[in-house]
Amino acid sequence: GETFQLTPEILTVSVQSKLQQVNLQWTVPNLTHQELKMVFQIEISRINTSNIIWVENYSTTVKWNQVLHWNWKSEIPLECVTHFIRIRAMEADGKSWSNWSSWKEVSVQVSIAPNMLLIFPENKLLEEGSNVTMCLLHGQYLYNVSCMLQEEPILGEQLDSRVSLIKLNNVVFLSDSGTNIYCQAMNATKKLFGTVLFVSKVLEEPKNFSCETQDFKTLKCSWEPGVDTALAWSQQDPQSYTLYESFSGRREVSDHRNSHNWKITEDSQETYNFTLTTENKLRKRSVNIIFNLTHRVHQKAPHDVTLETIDATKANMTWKVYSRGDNYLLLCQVELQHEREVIHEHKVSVHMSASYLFSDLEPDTEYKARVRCADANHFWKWSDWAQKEFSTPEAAPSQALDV
Amino acid sequence: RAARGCSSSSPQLLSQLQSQANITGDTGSLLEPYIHLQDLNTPTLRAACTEYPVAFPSEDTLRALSKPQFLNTVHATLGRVWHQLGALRQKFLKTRPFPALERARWNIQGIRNNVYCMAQLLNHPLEIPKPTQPGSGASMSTATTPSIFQTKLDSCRFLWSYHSFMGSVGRVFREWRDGSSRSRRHSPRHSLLRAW
Repeated sequence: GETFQLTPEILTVSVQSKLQQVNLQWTVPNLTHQELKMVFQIEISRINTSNIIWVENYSTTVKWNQVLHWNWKSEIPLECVTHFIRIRAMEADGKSWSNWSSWKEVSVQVSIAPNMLLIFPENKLLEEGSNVTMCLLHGQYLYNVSCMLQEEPILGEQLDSRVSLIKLNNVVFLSDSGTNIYCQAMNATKKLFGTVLFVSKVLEEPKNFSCETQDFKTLKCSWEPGVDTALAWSQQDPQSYTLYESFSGRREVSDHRNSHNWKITEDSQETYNFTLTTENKLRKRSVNIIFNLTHRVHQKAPHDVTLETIDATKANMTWKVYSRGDNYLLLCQVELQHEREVIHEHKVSVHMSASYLFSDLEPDTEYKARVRCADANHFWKWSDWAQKEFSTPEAAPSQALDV
Repeated sequence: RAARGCSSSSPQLLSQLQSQANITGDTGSLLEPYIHLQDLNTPTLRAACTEYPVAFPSEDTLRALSKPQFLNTVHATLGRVWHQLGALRQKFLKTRPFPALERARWNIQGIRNNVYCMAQLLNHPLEIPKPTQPGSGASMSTATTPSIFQTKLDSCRFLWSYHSFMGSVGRVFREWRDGSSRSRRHSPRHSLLRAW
């Protein structure tokens, strides 16, 4: 078929070696349309142009005189091997391709002395379970290169006379100080060449994320952070935890791994929509909760507990609660223990204060009474216990004394 | 007259200095924990750790110095070691604690204090080095930013050399004691002071 006339023209090819990434910029000269849907085909070859290792189609709408961008991540560190890149185009639903642009070389200038060895990538950070390809650049006088991962020999695969590859799959976390990979070679100026692979544990999603208030001034949010992914040698700080509340738009970074106090302002709404995001250099994870403030009240423990023994078998307990007003109902749980065993339990609804009569007690006996409360309408969590120990008096003699 | 906070007894001070030097000369106090923390505990990596020792003053150099010069050299060198260990400490601050490193820095401060006191007792106050004074070699090379693998090894070599240095210091201090006990037998009064 007829060749499509609009051959793309490569403007720049650049490399970010730390990311092992090739960045391509191009234009479509002589584009007469204001905009045109096009498909670009990009080819990448390695070591020589005939050794094509990657082909990708990239569709986009091109405007007149527009600079287009595309990038590609190399599995092999770009310091170790030269790549070549070219591009051609076709109209979105066209039949024929344009001519190819000319091949552009992609290489990172690395100078290496004849009896030196270079290992790439250097100080690589990656997540446990991922794969990595290391490459060795041999000085021309070197031979018999052997490498170890900690104490395990690892085999290289010759790519060409001066480059060999070491493929590590499903890497394992060994230490927060990194995994040492080192090589020795005959005829080398140094005994040891090495690099450190920083394998990070996988960042975990925070668990049991919840918030509650005891005073309607502060929301205490807490969560289980999971594993700490910090790495030594300044390679990765401990993961951060950020709370974002969507109704107020407020965002706060927590100073702690597993909790944060969120100030309830005067104009705060009643419903909260929190997103907790944890992040390290390699990953970001979020969890979300939505709740009504009044459904997350963690009542303070009851106070002013009193115990009045009425007679040898009856005792009356009274207590007070921190309440938010008359129409605010609390549910309280009363317990009576004798020698650590719960012998009686009862629930009672309470406004501001309450009392409860224990009867059928044993005379001359030690007891412990305790009470805790919670929101009656929207139960969230029991308060702590408030308790009091008491003893019943001896029973009065049943008959008059026979004097 | 003893300087503020210093012992006035040079035999006691000397004995303290010698035991401190012995403690810090023991590789188990810092180098070994470091080797394990950094997974350098393989024959090859251990060998690399002791391959090119970092330049600390040698034992012969130390022995050839006068007492004031010796005290000055120890005090200045340990000052640099203290800073280097501080820089190393930063590398692990956010991961797990490294107690051996903390202890080492406390010990170094202790030794420097005693060295200061000894110099006072011998009426040769220490010369506090000017900030730009070139170190006596006791520092890790940080010219370009080396790879972390290289830094791990350089730190290992530094610690190895530091322990060796402290071993030498301990032996010189012991010779002070042996020398002073011999001359005390001949002329008991102020033997240590009169030794120069």
